[in-house]
Amino acid sequence: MKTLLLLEWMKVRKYKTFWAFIILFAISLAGINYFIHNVQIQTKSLTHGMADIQIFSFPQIWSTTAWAGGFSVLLLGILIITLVTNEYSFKTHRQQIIDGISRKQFISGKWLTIIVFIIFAWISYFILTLIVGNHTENISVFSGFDYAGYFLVKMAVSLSVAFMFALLFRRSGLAIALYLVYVFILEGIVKHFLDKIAGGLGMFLPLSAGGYLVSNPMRQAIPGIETIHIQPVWILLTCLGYLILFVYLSYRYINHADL
Amino acid sequence: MATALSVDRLTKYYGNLCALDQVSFEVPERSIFGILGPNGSGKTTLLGTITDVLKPASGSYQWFDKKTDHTLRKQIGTLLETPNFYPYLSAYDNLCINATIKGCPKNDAERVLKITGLWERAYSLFRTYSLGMRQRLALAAALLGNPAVILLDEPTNGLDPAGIADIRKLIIEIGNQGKTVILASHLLDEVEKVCSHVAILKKGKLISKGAVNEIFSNDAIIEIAGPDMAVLRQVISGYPGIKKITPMNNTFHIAVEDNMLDEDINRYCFEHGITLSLLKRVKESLENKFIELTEDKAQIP
Repeated sequence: MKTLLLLEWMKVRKYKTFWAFIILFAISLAGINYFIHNVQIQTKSLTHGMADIQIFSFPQIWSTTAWAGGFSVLLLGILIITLVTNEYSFKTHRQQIIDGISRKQFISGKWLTIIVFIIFAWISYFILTLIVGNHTENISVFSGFDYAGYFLVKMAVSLSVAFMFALLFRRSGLAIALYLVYVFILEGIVKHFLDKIAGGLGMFLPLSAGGYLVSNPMRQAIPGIETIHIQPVWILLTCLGYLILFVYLSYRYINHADL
Repeated sequence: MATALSVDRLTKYYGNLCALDQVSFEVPERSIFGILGPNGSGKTTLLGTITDVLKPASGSYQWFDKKTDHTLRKQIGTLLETPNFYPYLSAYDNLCINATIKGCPKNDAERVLKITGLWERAYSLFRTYSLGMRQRLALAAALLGNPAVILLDEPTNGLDPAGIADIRKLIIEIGNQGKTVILASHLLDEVEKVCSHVAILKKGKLISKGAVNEIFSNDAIIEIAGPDMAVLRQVISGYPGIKKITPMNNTFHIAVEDNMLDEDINRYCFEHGITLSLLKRVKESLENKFIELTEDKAQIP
Protein backbone atom coordinates (compact mmCIF):
# COMPACT_ATOMS: atom_id res chain seq x y z
CA MET A 1 0.00 0.00 0.00
CA LYS A 2 2.88 2.30 0.83
CA THR A 3 4.36 1.67 -2.60
CA LEU A 4 1.04 2.39 -4.30
CA LEU A 5 0.68 5.70 -2.50
CA LEU A 6 4.30 6.55 -3.28
CA LEU A 7 3.68 5.82 -6.96
CA GLU A 8 0.64 8.09 -7.07
CA TRP A 9 2.66 10.79 -5.32
CA MET A 10 5.50 10.48 -7.84
CA LYS A 11 2.99 10.96 -10.64
CA VAL A 12 1.46 14.17 -9.28
CA ARG A 13 4.44 15.69 -7.44
CA LYS A 14 5.56 17.70 -10.46
CA TYR A 15 2.21 17.90 -12.24
CA LYS A 16 1.21 21.56 -12.46
CA THR A 17 -2.46 20.84 -13.13
CA PHE A 18 -2.60 18.90 -9.87
CA TRP A 19 -1.27 21.80 -7.82
CA ALA A 20 -3.48 24.25 -9.67
CA PHE A 21 -6.54 22.21 -8.69
CA ILE A 22 -5.44 21.92 -5.08
CA ILE A 23 -4.98 25.69 -4.84
CA LEU A 24 -8.29 26.29 -6.61
CA PHE A 25 -9.95 23.96 -4.15
CA ALA A 26 -8.59 25.90 -1.17
CA ILE A 27 -9.59 29.24 -2.67
CA SER A 28 -13.07 28.09 -3.62
CA LEU A 29 -13.70 26.48 -0.24
CA ALA A 30 -13.04 29.78 1.50
CA GLY A 31 -14.60 31.84 -1.31
CA ILE A 32 -17.95 30.09 -1.37
CA ASN A 33 -18.35 30.54 2.37
CA TYR A 34 -17.53 34.21 2.03
CA PHE A 35 -20.13 34.47 -0.71
CA ILE A 36 -22.79 32.74 1.37
CA HIS A 37 -21.92 34.95 4.29
CA ASN A 38 -22.61 38.02 2.14
CA VAL A 39 -25.90 36.60 0.97
CA GLN A 40 -26.88 35.96 4.55
CA ILE A 41 -26.11 39.56 5.59
CA GLN A 42 -28.00 40.92 2.60
CA THR A 43 -31.03 38.74 3.30
CA LYS A 44 -30.98 39.88 6.86
CA SER A 45 -30.96 43.56 5.94
CA LEU A 46 -33.52 43.12 3.13
CA THR A 47 -35.96 41.41 5.46
CA HIS A 48 -35.18 43.84 8.26
CA GLY A 49 -33.85 41.08 10.43
CA MET A 50 -36.80 38.73 9.86
CA ALA A 51 -34.65 36.10 8.13
CA ASP A 52 -31.79 36.10 10.53
CA ILE A 53 -30.54 32.60 10.38
CA GLN A 54 -27.47 31.84 12.34
CA ILE A 55 -25.84 29.73 9.67
CA PHE A 56 -22.33 30.81 10.61
CA SER A 57 -22.71 30.05 14.29
CA PHE A 58 -22.17 26.77 15.99
CA PRO A 59 -23.80 24.32 15.65
CA GLN A 60 -25.29 25.25 12.23
CA ILE A 61 -21.94 26.19 10.75
CA TRP A 62 -20.87 22.53 10.44
CA SER A 63 -23.75 22.03 8.06
CA THR A 64 -23.24 25.35 6.23
CA THR A 65 -19.58 24.83 5.44
CA ALA A 66 -20.21 21.20 4.54
CA TRP A 67 -22.89 22.21 2.06
CA ALA A 68 -20.67 24.94 0.60
CA GLY A 69 -17.72 22.54 0.47
CA GLY A 70 -19.76 20.26 -1.78
CA PHE A 71 -19.11 22.65 -4.65
CA SER A 72 -15.39 22.71 -4.07
CA VAL A 73 -15.35 18.92 -3.95
CA LEU A 74 -16.48 18.99 -7.58
CA LEU A 75 -13.03 20.36 -8.37
CA LEU A 76 -11.47 17.36 -6.71
CA GLY A 77 -13.85 15.16 -8.70
CA ILE A 78 -12.61 16.75 -11.91
CA LEU A 79 -9.04 16.28 -10.70
CA ILE A 80 -9.70 12.58 -10.06
CA ILE A 81 -11.12 12.24 -13.57
CA THR A 82 -8.06 14.01 -14.97
CA LEU A 83 -5.60 11.81 -13.10
CA VAL A 84 -7.36 8.60 -14.12
CA THR A 85 -7.95 9.52 -17.77
CA ASN A 86 -4.34 10.74 -18.02
CA GLU A 87 -3.24 7.16 -17.48
CA TYR A 88 -5.39 6.13 -20.42
CA SER A 89 -4.22 8.88 -22.73
CA PHE A 90 -0.54 8.40 -21.90
CA LYS A 91 -1.09 4.62 -21.84
CA THR A 92 0.85 4.62 -18.60
CA HIS A 93 -1.74 2.27 -17.09
CA ARG A 94 -0.41 -0.35 -19.51
CA GLN A 95 3.17 0.46 -18.64
CA GLN A 96 2.54 0.01 -14.94
CA ILE A 97 0.88 -3.36 -15.48
CA ILE A 98 3.69 -4.62 -17.70
CA ASP A 99 6.25 -3.30 -15.24
CA GLY A 100 4.74 -5.58 -12.63
CA ILE A 101 1.87 -4.15 -10.61
CA SER A 102 -1.36 -6.11 -10.76
CA ARG A 103 -4.54 -4.76 -12.28
CA LYS A 104 -6.07 -4.72 -8.82
CA GLN A 105 -3.18 -2.66 -7.45
CA PHE A 106 -3.64 -0.15 -10.24
CA ILE A 107 -7.25 0.47 -9.21
CA SER A 108 -6.32 0.39 -5.52
CA GLY A 109 -3.83 3.20 -6.14
CA LYS A 110 -6.67 5.35 -7.45
CA TRP A 111 -8.95 4.51 -4.52
CA LEU A 112 -6.12 5.43 -2.17
CA THR A 113 -5.79 8.76 -3.96
CA ILE A 114 -9.51 9.35 -3.46
CA ILE A 115 -9.16 8.55 0.24
CA VAL A 116 -6.24 10.98 0.56
CA PHE A 117 -8.27 13.67 -1.22
CA ILE A 118 -11.18 13.09 1.14
CA ILE A 119 -8.94 13.37 4.19
CA PHE A 120 -7.30 16.51 2.81
CA ALA A 121 -10.65 18.14 1.97
CA TRP A 122 -12.12 17.19 5.32
CA ILE A 123 -9.20 18.67 7.25
CA SER A 124 -9.48 21.87 5.20
CA TYR A 125 -13.18 21.98 5.99
CA PHE A 126 -12.54 21.33 9.67
CA ILE A 127 -9.97 24.11 10.00
CA LEU A 128 -12.03 26.56 7.96
CA THR A 129 -15.12 25.90 10.08
CA LEU A 130 -13.23 26.46 13.32
CA ILE A 131 -11.84 29.72 11.96
CA VAL A 132 -15.00 31.28 10.54
CA GLY A 133 -17.55 29.89 13.01
CA ASN A 134 -19.13 32.34 15.46
CA HIS A 135 -18.56 31.14 18.98
CA THR A 136 -21.38 31.39 21.44
CA GLU A 137 -20.35 30.84 24.98
CA ASN A 138 -22.84 28.19 25.99
CA ILE A 139 -22.56 26.08 22.84
CA SER A 140 -19.70 23.67 22.29
CA VAL A 141 -17.89 23.95 18.96
CA PHE A 142 -18.48 20.24 18.50
CA SER A 143 -22.24 20.41 18.69
CA GLY A 144 -23.57 19.68 15.24
CA PHE A 145 -20.41 17.79 14.51
CA ASP A 146 -22.42 14.93 12.96
CA TYR A 147 -22.50 17.08 9.82
CA ALA A 148 -18.74 16.75 9.62
CA GLY A 149 -19.29 13.01 9.39
CA TYR A 150 -22.03 13.43 6.76
CA PHE A 151 -19.69 15.62 4.74
CA LEU A 152 -17.16 12.78 4.72
CA VAL A 153 -19.77 10.40 3.31
CA LYS A 154 -20.99 12.93 0.77
CA MET A 155 -17.46 13.49 -0.52
CA ALA A 156 -16.81 9.77 -0.77
CA VAL A 157 -19.93 9.28 -2.91
CA SER A 158 -19.26 12.32 -5.03
CA LEU A 159 -15.62 11.45 -5.78
CA SER A 160 -16.34 7.80 -6.48
CA VAL A 161 -19.04 8.83 -8.95
CA ALA A 162 -16.35 10.94 -10.67
CA PHE A 163 -14.03 7.92 -10.68
CA MET A 164 -16.74 5.79 -12.31
CA PHE A 165 -17.14 8.39 -15.07
CA ALA A 166 -13.37 8.34 -15.66
CA LEU A 167 -13.24 4.54 -15.91
CA LEU A 168 -16.30 4.42 -18.12
CA PHE A 169 -15.34 7.10 -20.64
CA ARG A 170 -11.53 7.04 -20.46
CA ARG A 171 -11.14 10.43 -22.17
CA SER A 172 -10.78 13.42 -19.92
CA GLY A 173 -12.87 15.99 -21.80
CA LEU A 174 -15.79 13.65 -22.33
CA ALA A 175 -15.70 12.23 -18.81
CA ILE A 176 -15.54 15.68 -17.18
CA ALA A 177 -18.34 17.06 -19.34
CA LEU A 178 -20.59 14.09 -18.65
CA TYR A 179 -19.78 14.19 -14.94
CA LEU A 180 -20.82 17.84 -14.73
CA VAL A 181 -23.93 17.22 -16.80
CA TYR A 182 -24.82 14.37 -14.48
CA VAL A 183 -24.16 16.39 -11.33
CA PHE A 184 -26.05 19.50 -12.37
CA ILE A 185 -28.72 18.25 -14.75
CA LEU A 186 -29.15 14.56 -15.33
CA GLU A 187 -29.55 13.36 -11.78
CA GLY A 188 -31.99 16.21 -11.15
CA ILE A 189 -34.16 15.05 -14.05
CA VAL A 190 -34.06 11.40 -12.99
CA LYS A 191 -34.81 12.44 -9.42
CA HIS A 192 -37.78 14.47 -10.55
CA PHE A 193 -39.27 11.50 -12.41
CA LEU A 194 -38.53 9.08 -9.61
CA ASP A 195 -40.16 11.40 -7.13
CA LYS A 196 -43.21 11.65 -9.37
CA ILE A 197 -43.56 7.93 -9.96
CA ALA A 198 -42.61 6.77 -6.48
CA GLY A 199 -42.66 9.66 -4.07
CA GLY A 200 -39.39 10.35 -2.29
CA LEU A 201 -37.45 7.59 -4.02
CA GLY A 202 -35.34 10.17 -5.86
CA MET A 203 -33.61 10.87 -2.58
CA PHE A 204 -31.86 7.55 -2.92
CA LEU A 205 -29.93 8.47 -6.06
CA PRO A 206 -26.22 8.69 -5.23
CA LEU A 207 -25.64 12.46 -5.28
CA SER A 208 -29.09 13.27 -3.93
CA ALA A 209 -28.49 10.97 -1.00
CA GLY A 210 -25.22 12.73 -0.28
CA GLY A 211 -26.97 16.05 -0.78
CA TYR A 212 -29.74 15.11 1.63
CA LEU A 213 -27.21 14.54 4.37
CA VAL A 214 -25.80 18.03 3.95
CA SER A 215 -28.57 20.12 2.48
CA ASN A 216 -28.73 23.83 1.77
CA PRO A 217 -28.79 25.63 5.14
CA MET A 218 -30.82 28.49 3.64
CA ARG A 219 -33.75 26.16 3.11
CA GLN A 220 -34.87 26.55 6.69
CA ALA A 221 -35.17 30.28 6.07
CA ILE A 222 -37.51 29.83 3.15
CA PRO A 223 -41.03 29.23 4.40
CA GLY A 224 -43.29 26.65 2.83
CA ILE A 225 -40.61 24.58 1.14
CA GLU A 226 -41.49 20.93 1.25
CA THR A 227 -38.99 18.68 2.87
CA ILE A 228 -39.13 14.96 2.98
CA HIS A 229 -37.97 13.50 6.22
CA ILE A 230 -36.00 10.34 6.04
CA GLN A 231 -34.00 8.92 8.89
CA PRO A 232 -30.33 9.75 8.19
CA VAL A 233 -29.44 6.16 8.90
CA TRP A 234 -31.27 5.03 5.73
CA ILE A 235 -29.46 7.63 3.68
CA LEU A 236 -26.15 6.62 5.22
CA LEU A 237 -26.85 2.98 4.40
CA THR A 238 -27.74 4.00 0.84
CA CYS A 239 -24.46 5.88 0.48
CA LEU A 240 -22.55 2.95 1.90
CA GLY A 241 -24.33 0.69 -0.58
CA TYR A 242 -23.26 2.90 -3.48
CA LEU A 243 -19.67 2.96 -2.27
CA ILE A 244 -19.56 -0.82 -2.04
CA LEU A 245 -21.13 -1.07 -5.49
CA PHE A 246 -18.62 1.37 -7.02
CA VAL A 247 -15.64 -0.40 -5.46
CA TYR A 248 -16.98 -3.73 -6.68
CA LEU A 249 -17.62 -2.40 -10.20
CA SER A 250 -14.16 -0.86 -10.47
CA TYR A 251 -12.40 -4.12 -9.58
CA ARG A 252 -14.70 -6.18 -11.75
CA TYR A 253 -14.05 -3.87 -14.66
CA ILE A 254 -10.29 -3.91 -14.26
CA ASN A 255 -10.17 -7.70 -14.04
CA HIS A 256 -11.94 -8.17 -17.35
CA ALA A 257 -11.06 -5.22 -19.54
CA ASP A 258 -8.46 -4.96 -22.27
CA LEU A 259 -6.22 -2.12 -21.22
CA MET B 1 16.81 -26.46 -21.80
CA ALA B 2 14.51 -24.61 -19.45
CA THR B 3 11.61 -22.66 -20.86
CA ALA B 4 11.29 -18.92 -20.31
CA LEU B 5 7.80 -18.69 -21.75
CA SER B 6 5.30 -21.22 -22.93
CA VAL B 7 2.17 -20.19 -24.77
CA ASP B 8 -0.63 -22.69 -25.10
CA ARG B 9 -3.43 -22.33 -27.66
CA LEU B 10 -3.82 -18.61 -27.02
CA THR B 11 -6.88 -17.16 -28.75
CA LYS B 12 -8.11 -13.58 -28.80
CA TYR B 13 -10.94 -11.87 -30.64
CA TYR B 14 -11.61 -8.21 -31.37
CA GLY B 15 -15.30 -8.38 -32.13
CA ASN B 16 -15.54 -10.91 -34.94
CA LEU B 17 -11.92 -10.57 -35.92
CA CYS B 18 -9.74 -13.37 -34.71
CA ALA B 19 -6.51 -11.62 -33.71
CA LEU B 20 -4.87 -14.73 -32.28
CA ASP B 21 -5.90 -18.18 -33.37
CA GLN B 22 -4.74 -21.05 -31.13
CA VAL B 23 -1.16 -19.84 -30.98
CA SER B 24 1.22 -22.18 -29.17
CA PHE B 25 4.99 -22.03 -28.88
CA GLU B 26 7.79 -22.17 -26.37
CA VAL B 27 10.62 -19.75 -25.87
CA PRO B 28 13.77 -21.52 -24.67
CA GLU B 29 15.70 -19.75 -21.94
CA ARG B 30 18.72 -17.79 -23.15
CA SER B 31 17.47 -17.62 -26.73
CA ILE B 32 16.83 -14.54 -28.81
CA PHE B 33 13.37 -15.35 -29.98
CA GLY B 34 11.86 -13.47 -32.90
CA ILE B 35 8.14 -13.08 -33.48
CA LEU B 36 7.83 -12.14 -37.10
CA GLY B 37 4.77 -11.04 -38.96
CA PRO B 38 3.45 -8.27 -41.16
CA ASN B 39 1.48 -5.37 -39.68
CA GLY B 40 -1.76 -6.57 -38.16
CA SER B 41 -0.64 -10.17 -37.84
CA GLY B 42 -1.21 -10.23 -34.08
CA LYS B 43 2.30 -9.62 -32.73
CA THR B 44 1.36 -6.81 -30.37
CA THR B 45 -1.82 -8.62 -29.35
CA LEU B 46 0.31 -11.63 -28.48
CA LEU B 47 2.76 -9.58 -26.42
CA GLY B 48 -0.08 -7.64 -24.80
CA THR B 49 -1.72 -10.89 -23.75
CA ILE B 50 1.40 -12.39 -22.19
CA THR B 51 1.95 -9.19 -20.21
CA ASP B 52 -1.66 -9.14 -18.90
CA VAL B 53 -2.57 -5.93 -20.69
CA LEU B 54 -5.05 -7.87 -22.83
CA LYS B 55 -7.30 -10.70 -21.76
CA PRO B 56 -7.35 -13.78 -24.01
CA ALA B 57 -10.61 -15.46 -25.00
CA SER B 58 -9.03 -18.85 -24.32
CA GLY B 59 -5.67 -20.51 -23.93
CA SER B 60 -2.96 -19.83 -21.40
CA TYR B 61 0.65 -18.81 -20.96
CA GLN B 62 3.28 -19.46 -18.37
CA TRP B 63 6.46 -17.60 -17.49
CA PHE B 64 9.46 -19.56 -16.17
CA ASP B 65 7.27 -22.68 -15.78
CA LYS B 66 5.55 -21.03 -12.84
CA LYS B 67 2.02 -20.07 -12.09
CA THR B 68 1.86 -16.57 -13.51
CA ASP B 69 1.18 -13.70 -11.17
CA HIS B 70 2.06 -10.05 -11.52
CA THR B 71 5.29 -10.18 -9.50
CA LEU B 72 6.87 -12.33 -12.21
CA ARG B 73 6.58 -9.39 -14.57
CA LYS B 74 9.04 -7.49 -12.41
CA GLN B 75 11.70 -9.80 -13.89
CA ILE B 76 10.56 -9.06 -17.42
CA GLY B 77 11.53 -5.84 -19.16
CA THR B 78 8.93 -4.89 -21.73
CA LEU B 79 8.66 -2.37 -24.53
CA LEU B 80 5.12 -2.68 -25.84
CA GLU B 81 4.13 -0.95 -29.08
CA THR B 82 4.68 2.68 -28.09
CA PRO B 83 6.71 4.38 -25.35
CA ASN B 84 4.29 5.11 -22.50
CA PHE B 85 5.45 7.90 -20.19
CA TYR B 86 4.15 10.97 -18.39
CA PRO B 87 4.87 13.92 -20.73
CA TYR B 88 5.14 16.42 -17.87
CA LEU B 89 7.87 14.46 -16.09
CA SER B 90 11.53 14.22 -17.03
CA ALA B 91 12.95 11.00 -18.42
CA TYR B 92 14.66 10.41 -15.08
CA ASP B 93 11.47 10.97 -13.05
CA ASN B 94 9.58 8.69 -15.38
CA LEU B 95 12.12 5.92 -14.97
CA CYS B 96 11.97 6.36 -11.19
CA ILE B 97 8.30 5.41 -11.37
CA ASN B 98 9.14 2.30 -13.40
CA ALA B 99 11.98 1.48 -10.98
CA THR B 100 9.66 1.81 -7.99
CA ILE B 101 7.26 -0.69 -9.53
CA LYS B 102 10.07 -3.08 -10.42
CA GLY B 103 11.47 -2.71 -6.92
CA CYS B 104 14.95 -1.84 -8.16
CA PRO B 105 17.10 1.00 -6.82
CA LYS B 106 16.68 4.42 -8.42
CA ASN B 107 20.35 4.65 -9.41
CA ASP B 108 19.57 1.94 -11.92
CA ALA B 109 17.77 4.66 -13.90
CA GLU B 110 21.15 6.33 -14.41
CA ARG B 111 22.71 3.09 -15.66
CA VAL B 112 20.02 2.41 -18.28
CA LEU B 113 19.94 6.04 -19.41
CA LYS B 114 23.68 5.80 -20.05
CA ILE B 115 23.34 2.51 -21.94
CA THR B 116 20.71 4.03 -24.23
CA GLY B 117 22.65 7.26 -24.69
CA LEU B 118 20.07 9.51 -23.01
CA TRP B 119 21.95 10.49 -19.86
CA GLU B 120 22.69 13.99 -21.11
CA ARG B 121 18.98 14.61 -21.59
CA ALA B 122 17.89 12.75 -18.46
CA TYR B 123 16.32 15.83 -16.88
CA SER B 124 14.49 17.04 -19.97
CA LEU B 125 10.75 16.59 -19.94
CA PHE B 126 9.53 13.54 -21.86
CA ARG B 127 7.29 15.93 -23.82
CA THR B 128 10.39 17.49 -25.41
CA TYR B 129 11.80 14.15 -26.60
CA SER B 130 11.95 13.25 -30.28
CA LEU B 131 10.40 10.03 -31.56
CA GLY B 132 13.75 8.25 -31.59
CA MET B 133 14.59 9.40 -28.07
CA ARG B 134 11.22 8.24 -26.82
CA GLN B 135 11.89 4.83 -28.29
CA ARG B 136 15.31 4.73 -26.58
CA LEU B 137 13.72 5.72 -23.29
CA ALA B 138 11.21 2.90 -23.65
CA LEU B 139 14.12 0.55 -24.19
CA ALA B 140 15.84 2.02 -21.14
CA ALA B 141 12.72 1.27 -19.10
CA ALA B 142 12.79 -2.32 -20.36
CA LEU B 143 16.38 -2.68 -19.18
CA LEU B 144 15.65 -1.44 -15.64
CA GLY B 145 16.50 -3.89 -12.90
CA ASN B 146 18.52 -6.08 -15.24
CA PRO B 147 15.60 -8.43 -15.99
CA ALA B 148 16.04 -12.07 -16.97
CA VAL B 149 13.72 -11.69 -19.94
CA ILE B 150 13.41 -8.74 -22.26
CA LEU B 151 10.32 -8.36 -24.41
CA LEU B 152 10.61 -5.91 -27.27
CA ASP B 153 7.87 -4.91 -29.69
CA GLU B 154 9.30 -3.26 -32.79
CA PRO B 155 12.22 -1.77 -30.84
CA THR B 156 13.80 -0.02 -33.81
CA ASN B 157 10.62 1.84 -34.71
CA GLY B 158 11.29 5.49 -35.45
CA LEU B 159 15.05 5.23 -35.11
CA ASP B 160 17.62 6.48 -37.59
CA PRO B 161 20.05 3.95 -39.17
CA ALA B 162 22.69 4.57 -36.50
CA GLY B 163 20.08 4.12 -33.80
CA ILE B 164 18.88 0.90 -35.40
CA ALA B 165 22.43 -0.45 -35.49
CA ASP B 166 22.93 0.55 -31.83
CA ILE B 167 19.79 -1.19 -30.71
CA ARG B 168 20.56 -4.37 -32.64
CA LYS B 169 24.03 -4.46 -31.14
CA LEU B 170 22.52 -3.95 -27.71
CA ILE B 171 20.03 -6.78 -28.21
CA ILE B 172 22.81 -9.16 -29.24
CA GLU B 173 24.87 -8.07 -26.22
CA ILE B 174 21.93 -8.73 -23.92
CA GLY B 175 21.52 -12.15 -25.52
CA ASN B 176 25.21 -12.86 -24.97
CA GLN B 177 24.78 -12.09 -21.28
CA GLY B 178 22.60 -15.18 -21.07
CA LYS B 179 19.28 -13.38 -21.05
CA THR B 180 16.21 -14.31 -22.98
CA VAL B 181 15.10 -11.76 -25.54
CA ILE B 182 11.72 -11.90 -27.25
CA LEU B 183 11.65 -9.59 -30.23
CA ALA B 184 8.55 -8.83 -32.29
CA SER B 185 9.24 -7.33 -35.66
CA HIS B 186 7.88 -6.98 -39.14
CA LEU B 187 11.43 -6.72 -40.46
CA LEU B 188 12.71 -10.08 -41.52
CA ASP B 189 16.17 -8.63 -41.88
CA GLU B 190 16.12 -7.64 -38.22
CA VAL B 191 14.97 -11.04 -37.06
CA GLU B 192 17.48 -12.83 -39.26
CA LYS B 193 20.37 -10.68 -38.07
CA VAL B 194 19.55 -10.84 -34.39
CA CYS B 195 17.50 -13.90 -33.51
CA SER B 196 18.31 -17.54 -32.88
CA HIS B 197 14.70 -18.72 -33.01
CA VAL B 198 11.64 -17.45 -34.77
CA ALA B 199 7.88 -17.85 -34.81
CA ILE B 200 6.06 -16.46 -37.82
CA LEU B 201 2.58 -15.06 -37.40
CA LYS B 202 0.10 -14.36 -40.13
CA LYS B 203 -3.43 -13.13 -39.52
CA GLY B 204 -3.27 -14.40 -35.96
CA LYS B 205 -2.12 -17.87 -36.94
CA LEU B 206 1.30 -19.30 -36.22
CA ILE B 207 2.48 -20.50 -39.62
CA SER B 208 6.03 -21.51 -38.84
CA LYS B 209 8.39 -21.80 -35.90
CA GLY B 210 11.89 -23.05 -35.25
CA ALA B 211 15.55 -22.13 -35.38
CA VAL B 212 16.24 -19.20 -37.69
CA ASN B 213 18.74 -21.06 -39.87
CA GLU B 214 16.20 -23.82 -40.48
CA ILE B 215 13.33 -21.54 -41.34
CA PHE B 216 15.25 -19.31 -43.69
CA SER B 217 17.30 -21.67 -45.83
CA ASN B 218 19.76 -19.91 -48.08
CA ASP B 219 18.77 -20.81 -51.58
CA ALA B 220 20.55 -19.18 -54.46
CA ILE B 221 18.37 -17.43 -57.01
CA ILE B 222 19.48 -17.51 -60.64
CA GLU B 223 17.89 -15.61 -63.45
CA ILE B 224 17.80 -17.39 -66.79
CA ALA B 225 16.36 -16.81 -70.24
CA GLY B 226 16.40 -18.65 -73.52
CA PRO B 227 15.02 -18.33 -77.06
CA ASP B 228 11.94 -20.45 -76.29
CA MET B 229 10.76 -19.84 -72.76
CA ALA B 230 8.17 -22.66 -72.82
CA VAL B 231 10.76 -25.24 -73.72
CA LEU B 232 13.21 -23.76 -71.24
CA ARG B 233 10.69 -24.12 -68.49
CA GLN B 234 10.05 -27.73 -69.34
CA VAL B 235 13.74 -28.51 -69.45
CA ILE B 236 14.75 -26.62 -66.34
CA SER B 237 11.99 -28.15 -64.26
CA GLY B 238 13.69 -31.48 -64.82
CA TYR B 239 16.97 -30.19 -63.46
CA PRO B 240 18.03 -32.09 -60.33
CA GLY B 241 18.08 -29.84 -57.27
CA ILE B 242 15.69 -27.23 -58.63
CA LYS B 243 13.45 -25.86 -55.91
CA LYS B 244 11.26 -23.30 -57.53
CA ILE B 245 10.67 -21.53 -60.84
CA THR B 246 9.25 -18.02 -60.79
CA PRO B 247 8.39 -16.42 -64.15
CA MET B 248 9.55 -12.83 -64.42
CA ASN B 249 9.41 -10.42 -67.37
CA ASN B 250 10.81 -12.58 -70.18
CA THR B 251 13.00 -14.47 -67.73
CA PHE B 252 12.72 -17.06 -65.00
CA HIS B 253 14.01 -16.84 -61.48
CA ILE B 254 15.00 -20.31 -60.36
CA ALA B 255 15.82 -21.28 -56.81
CA VAL B 256 18.58 -23.85 -56.31
CA GLU B 257 20.89 -25.00 -53.54
CA ASP B 258 23.43 -22.36 -52.72
CA ASN B 259 26.39 -24.57 -53.64
CA MET B 260 25.11 -25.20 -57.19
CA LEU B 261 27.43 -23.85 -59.89
CA ASP B 262 26.26 -21.64 -62.72
CA GLU B 263 28.32 -23.74 -65.19
CA ASP B 264 26.37 -26.85 -64.27
CA ILE B 265 23.10 -25.18 -65.13
CA ASN B 266 24.47 -23.85 -68.38
CA ARG B 267 25.85 -27.25 -69.34
CA TYR B 268 22.57 -28.97 -68.43
CA CYS B 269 20.54 -26.63 -70.60
CA PHE B 270 23.00 -26.92 -73.49
CA GLU B 271 22.91 -30.71 -73.29
CA HIS B 272 19.13 -30.48 -73.53
CA GLY B 273 19.31 -28.36 -76.66
CA ILE B 274 18.88 -24.88 -75.20
CA THR B 275 21.36 -22.09 -75.52
CA LEU B 276 20.80 -19.72 -72.65
CA SER B 277 20.72 -16.07 -73.57
CA LEU B 278 20.93 -15.03 -69.92
CA LEU B 279 22.37 -16.63 -66.82
CA LYS B 280 22.82 -14.39 -63.82
CA ARG B 281 22.88 -14.80 -60.08
CA VAL B 282 20.43 -12.55 -58.31
CA LYS B 283 20.37 -12.08 -54.59
CA GLU B 284 16.87 -12.59 -53.38
CA SER B 285 15.95 -9.94 -50.92
CA LEU B 286 14.94 -11.17 -47.51
CA GLU B 287 11.79 -9.11 -47.75
CA ASN B 288 10.73 -11.17 -50.76
CA LYS B 289 11.25 -14.30 -48.76
CA PHE B 290 9.16 -12.90 -45.97
CA ILE B 291 6.36 -11.97 -48.33
CA GLU B 292 6.63 -15.44 -49.77
CA LEU B 293 6.30 -16.95 -46.33
CA THR B 294 3.32 -14.89 -45.35
CA GLU B 295 1.46 -14.54 -48.63
CA ASP B 296 -1.45 -16.66 -49.73
CA LYS B 297 -0.34 -17.01 -53.35
CA ALA B 298 0.27 -20.52 -54.54
CA GLN B 299 3.91 -21.31 -55.09
CA ILE B 300 5.44 -22.19 -58.43
CA PRO B 301 5.86 -24.95 -59.33
